[in-house]
Amino acid sequence: MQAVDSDRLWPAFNNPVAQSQQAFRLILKAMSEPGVPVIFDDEQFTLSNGQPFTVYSGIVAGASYVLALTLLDQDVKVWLSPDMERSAFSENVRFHCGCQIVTDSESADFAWMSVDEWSTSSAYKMGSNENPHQSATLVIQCGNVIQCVDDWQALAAGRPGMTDALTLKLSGPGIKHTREIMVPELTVAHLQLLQANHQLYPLGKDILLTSNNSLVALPRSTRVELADKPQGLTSAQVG
Amino acid sequence: MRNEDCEVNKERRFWLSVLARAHLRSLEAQWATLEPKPECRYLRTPEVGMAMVRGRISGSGRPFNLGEVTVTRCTVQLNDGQIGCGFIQGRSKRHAELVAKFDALLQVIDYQKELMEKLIQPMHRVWQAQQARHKAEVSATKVDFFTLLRGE
Repeated sequence: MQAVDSDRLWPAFNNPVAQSQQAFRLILKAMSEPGVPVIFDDEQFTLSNGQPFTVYSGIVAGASYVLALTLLDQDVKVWLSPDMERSAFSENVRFHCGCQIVTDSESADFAWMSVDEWSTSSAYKMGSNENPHQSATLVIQCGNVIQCVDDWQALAAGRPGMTDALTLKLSGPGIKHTREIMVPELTVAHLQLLQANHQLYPLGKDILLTSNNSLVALPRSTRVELADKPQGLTSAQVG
Repeated sequence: MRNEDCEVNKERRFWLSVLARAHLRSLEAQWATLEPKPECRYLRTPEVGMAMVRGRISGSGRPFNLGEVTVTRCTVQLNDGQIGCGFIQGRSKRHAELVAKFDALLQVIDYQKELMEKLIQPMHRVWQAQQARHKAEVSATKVDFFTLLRGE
């Protein structure tokens, strides 16, 4: 039993039952409408010292902390990436959620990592044909805001240079035609991971992208492609 | 170093057990007289749960599940960073909170001596007296069973 470093413990939900139900409802919304960002409200998710949940977010995004408090309990196994393991986040997950933290990613039900650490080097549970639900859920933390792309021109005008970021075209259950999102930190390798994951359907992992206080879900059922950018719109012209 | 740690743990175990057995009324009274009251925040708000009590027949048999008890726990942190935990049997959230607060204070050397003398020791004596009275009552009606050796 490791002693707890008192400076590194954060408060948890002020009203755990109601707040985790409200957070769960939002996660459900994100999962049923892939690509739509849901926002965890500062005033709604206050911690037991009266402060909003985003106050303690150093290395971990506020939304990742809310997800941990909502989804984890003593019945699940969690894998934390090296960055997360080193941070105060790991102590808080141990203290507040009481879950088992495993060192081998293949046995984990949940995995927390930053987007830079997301690669093919770690394997995760993808379920079996008999039990496709027994797969891992990956919580991947991005530094920059993920946005829905409705209007290219407006976006380019508002955030010059952003149009260089990888834009994904999503389709599948929960999406009427297609939906486009821009995730600034995703690379082509990540896109390939997402596509390979969809190929496995009905097996495969469910992916939750967090950044600051927002969450975007990319469940295994979502088909991911590279979006076509409008002709003639490049960062050179915009910038 | 390790022995020292053990001593601290032993003492802490002692005051935690005394606080958990104490009456809420006496804890409230002590808290009311405490000046200045330290500021603290919740790390874990008081919450009620269950714990399985296990037993062994005459203390050495195979363990078995006796039953579940309601347990309330709470964790607080003083402004200087000291953490206190309270676990009590029952559903009194206020009791768990006060135990946690006193536990945190008792770990601060400035408070420790005074609290041990004014709070923990008297409460422990009260409990010991109660136990002794109860034992005396029970032992008055004690029956010893003997098995006589059969001469066959």
